[in-house]
Amino acid sequence: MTLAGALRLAVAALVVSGVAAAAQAQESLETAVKAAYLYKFAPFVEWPQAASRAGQPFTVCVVGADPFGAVLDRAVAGQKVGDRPIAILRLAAAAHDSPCEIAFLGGSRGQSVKDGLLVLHGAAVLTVTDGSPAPGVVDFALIRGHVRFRVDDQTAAEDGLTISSKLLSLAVSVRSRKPSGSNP
Amino acid sequence: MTDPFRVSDRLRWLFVLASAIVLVAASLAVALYDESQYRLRTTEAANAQAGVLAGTVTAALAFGDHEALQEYVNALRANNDVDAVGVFDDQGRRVASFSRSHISDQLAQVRTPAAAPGQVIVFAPVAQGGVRLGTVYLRDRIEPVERRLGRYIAPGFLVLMASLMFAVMSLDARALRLANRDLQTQIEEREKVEAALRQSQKMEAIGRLTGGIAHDFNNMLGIVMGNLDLLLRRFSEGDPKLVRLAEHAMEGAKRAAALTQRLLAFSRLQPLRPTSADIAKTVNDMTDLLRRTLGETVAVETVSAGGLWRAHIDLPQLETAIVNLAINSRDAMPDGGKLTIETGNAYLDRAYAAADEEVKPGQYVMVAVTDTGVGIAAAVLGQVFEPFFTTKPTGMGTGLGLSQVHGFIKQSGGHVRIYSEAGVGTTVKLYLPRSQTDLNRPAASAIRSRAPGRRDLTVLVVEDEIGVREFAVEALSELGYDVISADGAKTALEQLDAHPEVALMLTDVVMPETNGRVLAEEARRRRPKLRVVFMTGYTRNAIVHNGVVDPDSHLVSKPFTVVQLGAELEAALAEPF
Repeated sequence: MTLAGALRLAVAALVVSGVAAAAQAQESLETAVKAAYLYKFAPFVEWPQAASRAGQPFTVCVVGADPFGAVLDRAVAGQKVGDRPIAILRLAAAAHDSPCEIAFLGGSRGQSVKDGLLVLHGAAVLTVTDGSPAPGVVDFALIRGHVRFRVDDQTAAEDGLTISSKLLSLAVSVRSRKPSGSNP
Repeated sequence: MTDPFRVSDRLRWLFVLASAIVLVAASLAVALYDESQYRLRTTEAANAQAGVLAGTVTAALAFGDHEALQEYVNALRANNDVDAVGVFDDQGRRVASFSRSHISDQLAQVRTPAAAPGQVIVFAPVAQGGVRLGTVYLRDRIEPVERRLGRYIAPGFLVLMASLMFAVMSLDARALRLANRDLQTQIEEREKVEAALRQSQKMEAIGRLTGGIAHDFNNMLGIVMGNLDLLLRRFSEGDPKLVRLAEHAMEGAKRAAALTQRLLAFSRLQPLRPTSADIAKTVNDMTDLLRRTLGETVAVETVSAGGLWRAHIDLPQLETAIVNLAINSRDAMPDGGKLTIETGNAYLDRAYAAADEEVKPGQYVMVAVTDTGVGIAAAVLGQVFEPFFTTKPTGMGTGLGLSQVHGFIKQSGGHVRIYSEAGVGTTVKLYLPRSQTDLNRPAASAIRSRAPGRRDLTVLVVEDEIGVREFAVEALSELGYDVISADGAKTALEQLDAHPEVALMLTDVVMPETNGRVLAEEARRRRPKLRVVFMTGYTRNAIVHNGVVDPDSHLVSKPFTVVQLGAELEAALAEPF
């Protein structure tokens, strides 16, 4: 191996490692943004049980695989929804009566994302998925390097949730609710 | 002087000024109120806009959609009043903005400076569902006062021009109205003057006609009276019946002579002998005569101002005039009343004189005869001076009284005014010219009283009319003079040359070819010591101006009696050279 060949190898290695590092940084930023978004949806959504849950913490559940970890805890630290502090609840699987306002479905062996959605259907929980084939009411999408989301307003209606048109206007796509009989 | 029109004018200007001040104050107040309202409205508009923006950007701000944020913010560019817009996130970092001038990156820095005078700065919180998401900063420009005023310049200018035009037009209309009024006044004045002129022309025409007739008639009357006089003198011891017939004829002729005198007086053709006269004394002396003439039912009062000037007037004629007026007054007061004769000094000014072209401004002695009678109707007031015009029943008046007054006063260079109100009375004012000399020449009557008769003198009689000449010759012979006669100026001068013993020339004034005045001058040139007496019933142009006899001339009026002729000759001969 010549010196030149060794150098070329070294440069290549450096380049490869640099690209990997950049990708990793990109990924972590994306995760942080998604973590922030999770609780930022709250002001734009109305829950039917909001009145009965007054005084209790606003609960964001992470069901199954947790991509956020401590990032989420840091993001919600000190934040409030109205006058309700935000609590993070990590669950292995979702139940219909899980005390969640917002539930991020990461999926697990025990309960796939699709199963989780089925369990939570009609439970007045804003379901959030991340690019899942079976999307929740809100489904994250990466558009031109920016974290965006799709909204399924029909399902939200079936779950008894009202999503602000402001949020809908920001969504990449919206599955509109049917004109009438939205509530099951 | 407080002229009511001027006072109301001044009041009107005061009112206009006050209104202008009130209007200016009101518009200033409105402008100030408007200004504060404008600032308030701008602030409200900015608040509303910031609020709308804050409501719109919530989701975009929450989810960091900067493109959407910028789009929302850019939408405000369309509003020219918006100077700067900034959207800050919950950390106080600027995430979207547009600015026509500078805007800070940090909310804290944006908050610190207070709004400049031309700016309105508002903040609106961005919140959703009770969560504070950020802040909207909006800076509006307040349009400067001058630019806002600038927008009103065009309509303001139009309004100003319209007002000016209106003002000019109304001033114009006012000027036109004033000019019209002036013109109207001028027309009225001119009509008045024209009426006065017409009246005086009429009087003059009547006067000339009357005078012409009276003069010729007077000459003939002279012959009649003269011959009657001679007849009576020569046959005074004859048949009493014939004497009485002659006396009757003489009586009638005298009355006719009096009539022609009055006609001549009216036509301003009678010879006048004005003297410097004390009018107050004359009036006082007349009171007794007037009391007797007017009867007991009429009270006579004379009022005389102190320091009365002397008048230049023929006294006997003035007395006749006053008597004429008194008789008219008596006839106007059948149930009695009061007659007041006032005398005073008067000054007729230019304005007064301008109304009547026969009146000259100057100093006059005024005699006012006032009665409390029935008055004269305004409709006939202008006619009362015309001869033979009378309001009295037929046979009661001659219609010559006021004519005599008018003609005499006018001939004397005076002025007559008559004021009358039906049912109240009448005042006739005579303005007699003031005498320039205060010397009173000896009264003619004193000379007349002398006894006639001189036998040692030769008199040359010059008269173109044979009847008059023959009467004069007869009369002079009767008086004891030697008489030579001539029928004209040429013969007269020949006779004068031929007869150096002629001491006195008695000549007619109006003669064909050479008149008496010229003859007298020529005769005096040849014979400086020759005395001259004029005979005339008619003095047109011949003797001095206006028919007034030269003060140093002796004159005997036709028709004359033998005694009158004798007296005048005596007077002429008595004068020293």
